[in-house]
Amino acid sequence: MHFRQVFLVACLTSLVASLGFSLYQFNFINPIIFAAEFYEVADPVDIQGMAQVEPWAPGDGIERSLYTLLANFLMSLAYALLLASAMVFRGNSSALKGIAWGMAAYLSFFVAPSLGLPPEIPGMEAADLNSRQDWWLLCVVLTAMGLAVFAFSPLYYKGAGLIFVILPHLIAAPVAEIHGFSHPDPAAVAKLMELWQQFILHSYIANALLWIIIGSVTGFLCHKFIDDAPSLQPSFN
Amino acid sequence: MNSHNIDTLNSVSVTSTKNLQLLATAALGIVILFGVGFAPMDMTHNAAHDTRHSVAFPCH
Repeated sequence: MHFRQVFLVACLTSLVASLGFSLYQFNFINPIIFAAEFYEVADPVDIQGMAQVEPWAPGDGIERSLYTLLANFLMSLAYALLLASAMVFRGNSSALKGIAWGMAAYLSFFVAPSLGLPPEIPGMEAADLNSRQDWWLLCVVLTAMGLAVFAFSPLYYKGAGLIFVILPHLIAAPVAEIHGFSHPDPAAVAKLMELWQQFILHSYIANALLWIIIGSVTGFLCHKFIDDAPSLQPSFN
Repeated sequence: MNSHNIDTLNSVSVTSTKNLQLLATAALGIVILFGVGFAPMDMTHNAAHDTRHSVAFPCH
């Protein structure tokens, strides 16, 4: 029963959230990604001098946009499922409480990992992908745990939440030996740096928008369809 | 077993099935998140490329 309800709430939420996020992304973020790709240095050819076989990628234009829309929907669905599960577990939701949950998730899933690993545009030199993904996961889990301890534990233990939040930054995110752009032309690097600054600003705004929508819609729908549903729990009389 | 005990058992099983179901929805969320954001296959990466950059998942 709860599985179906939470899944439906998450589906509806992710439809609305991915629409809002995609509108912002297509207007402000994707043009920056495309501009950065223009400067991206091609992969080196292999030892035999043969060009490497390019893996499949959606064609530029409508095909790429459709795949981005699909990926946005699935990503929103994943986030909405996680948020709705946590909210229903705690019980008693509302749109306003949902926004608070959404902001906590924004801090956990975007702001905290971005402090260590800033959002990047194509063409940037970065540390090993696996170690960055490991740190990202560690940072998200510890920040979410820290915020949960801070919000729900008795006053005496709230300090422990702060330790969880700070811990991943003490461990420190993996950094590349040379961080920046590999493009040989200094004028191109200057342009890329400018694009990067804009990209960071817009991704902070877009993700805040995403989480406000996910939080408020999930809170509203959980309140309407799950909290108020007649309880299956037998009464004691 | 009196009716009070049966009620208590029902209540325990309802709560535990609720938690199990919520665990299942959260697990589904994690699986989807892994597929969209972290799956290393080139095709998945290329299809979700712009989304991965926009939500600042580690990419490339």
